[in-house]
Amino acid sequence: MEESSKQNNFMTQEDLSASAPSSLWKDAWKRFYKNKTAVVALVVLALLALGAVFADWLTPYNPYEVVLSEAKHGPSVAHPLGCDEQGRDILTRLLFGARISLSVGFISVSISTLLGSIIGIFSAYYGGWVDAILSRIMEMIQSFPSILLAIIFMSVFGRGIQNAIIAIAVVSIPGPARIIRSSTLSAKEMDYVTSARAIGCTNVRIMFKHILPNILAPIIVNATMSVSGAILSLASLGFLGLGVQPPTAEWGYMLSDSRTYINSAPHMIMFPGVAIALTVLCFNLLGDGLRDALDPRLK
Amino acid sequence: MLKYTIKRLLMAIPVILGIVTIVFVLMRIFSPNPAYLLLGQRASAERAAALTEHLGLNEPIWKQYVIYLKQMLTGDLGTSLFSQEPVLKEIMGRMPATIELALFSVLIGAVVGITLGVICAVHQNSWLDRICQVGGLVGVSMPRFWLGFMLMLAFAVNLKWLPASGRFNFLLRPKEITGFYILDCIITGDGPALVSTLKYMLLPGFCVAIGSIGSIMRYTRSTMLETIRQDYIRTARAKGLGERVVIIRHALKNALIPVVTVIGMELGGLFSGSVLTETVFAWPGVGKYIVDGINNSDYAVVQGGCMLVAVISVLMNLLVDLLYGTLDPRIRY
Repeated sequence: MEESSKQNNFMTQEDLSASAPSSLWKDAWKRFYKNKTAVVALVVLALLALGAVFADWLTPYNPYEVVLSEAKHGPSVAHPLGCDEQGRDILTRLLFGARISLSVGFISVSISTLLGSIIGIFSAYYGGWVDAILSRIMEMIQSFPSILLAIIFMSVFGRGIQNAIIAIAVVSIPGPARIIRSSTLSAKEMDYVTSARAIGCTNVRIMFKHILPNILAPIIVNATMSVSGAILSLASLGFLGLGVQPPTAEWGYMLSDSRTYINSAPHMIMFPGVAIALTVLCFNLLGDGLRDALDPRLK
Repeated sequence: MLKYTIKRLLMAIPVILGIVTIVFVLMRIFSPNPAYLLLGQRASAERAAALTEHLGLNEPIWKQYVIYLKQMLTGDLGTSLFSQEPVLKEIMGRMPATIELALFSVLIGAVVGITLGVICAVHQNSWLDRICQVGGLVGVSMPRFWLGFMLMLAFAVNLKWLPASGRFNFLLRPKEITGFYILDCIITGDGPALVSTLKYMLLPGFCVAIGSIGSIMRYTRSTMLETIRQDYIRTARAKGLGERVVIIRHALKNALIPVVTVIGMELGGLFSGSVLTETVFAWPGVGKYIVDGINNSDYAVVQGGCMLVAVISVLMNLLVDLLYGTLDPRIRY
């Protein structure tokens, strides 16, 4: 407790002697905890995730049940955010929509980070023609504006959650791949890699057991930031009619569905956008906080 | 410089080839039946056969690729299912609208963004600086299409100051010469039409610009902060120059060079982002054309439109790179 009250970040002799082996992550957590904006963002996201998971129990309404007598009703005590054109409770639909947005965000980012990391680490570790080929492919994908590539992808494979996840994951592979490649390039010149090679470690072991843990910080930061990009992409695809299948409660689709009622029921178009903006903002703030906490050099 | 320009132009070729290849792989290899994808599921067998012949779909893959490349090089992007017109011709007809909107919003973005960035840097850590930082972050987090609806709600639906959507008033339609309506109005000297056209452009222009303002502002702020601490700024102050002259003539001039890159990147992004904003404001440009293609299941349009816009974004980045070299005499390639 005394330690946290210390104002400076310099390690004193006591700190050094007291530091446990896991102190890197402990230090990072301490730094993160001091960043109040990032902590608030984390709390908001945690609440949103809980709301999405327990949506069935949290609300008395069904997101798909049509109650035409309440169509386009504005916010009230019974429906805090009002009802849509079919009388469905908007708050309920937003909670169920959070399920889709968050899970698409997490799954697609996991896929792109995993594939991107493997590509980046192989590319930098082996160099030569492996690097040349992989880097050219990444450049190709990156030079294609991601929303357009996702549009072509969805129009070939048809809409649906799975295709949206794959499309968003594929277009975002180059980001992590590039970051991991440059971090690996500098990490592989380190002495610990040379010593690992000297004691006869295999290449795969050096890459994934020695180099990877040392370059985790930029990977985690990039992944957090990418979730916000993925959520925006899903909403954009939904808005263009290429996301999930209707009538699934998804934020972008809800937004595009209610644009005809902008004159008569503006609340219908307002709240889905607030949900998207708030979630994306929180992931960006969280990413900023993680970057400062995990790797102060990146600042 | 010439050597660098040629080198840079040559480097753009594989990138463009890459874009064309990705589209080929997706539309021809991964798609189960390209002919029916392009013609719709209810197309007659004869038409499917004719298209199969035209695209060489019965040939081996590498030959298909050669035929495909040849068609792309000659500008044959296929025929729109909906209008039966060549896709390239339709896109070219809509290009002025998209370019005009993109240039207009990048102009707003650059002017506002650079001004705010300089003010924030000069008054670092003031309340204005903080507000701008938070505002920039919020601006980046908002979906631009939603922001468009909110602007529309405020200024068109509630305040009724500006028209909600479209590009011109039917009573004040500019005479079409170049397709760039502002230019057309100036050429014909049509004052009322110019005012009306500008009014139609304000909402979509600002909607697009707000995102650019955020990134241009942040970038200007950080390069300005760096520049202000340079020795030559101290020298300028020591000479007794006024603060305004020091900031604008000595600091800003040098700080702006890297900002040009960001502006160029924004311009490239505006072309791909037009898919969303043009849909919101019913702006009759390439983006809306692509989305109409999606809604009509007109895949030749979607494919051709996306590919052409992607190529334009690449060329835009190339142009900025070249401009960058001319602006900064320290950069010698």
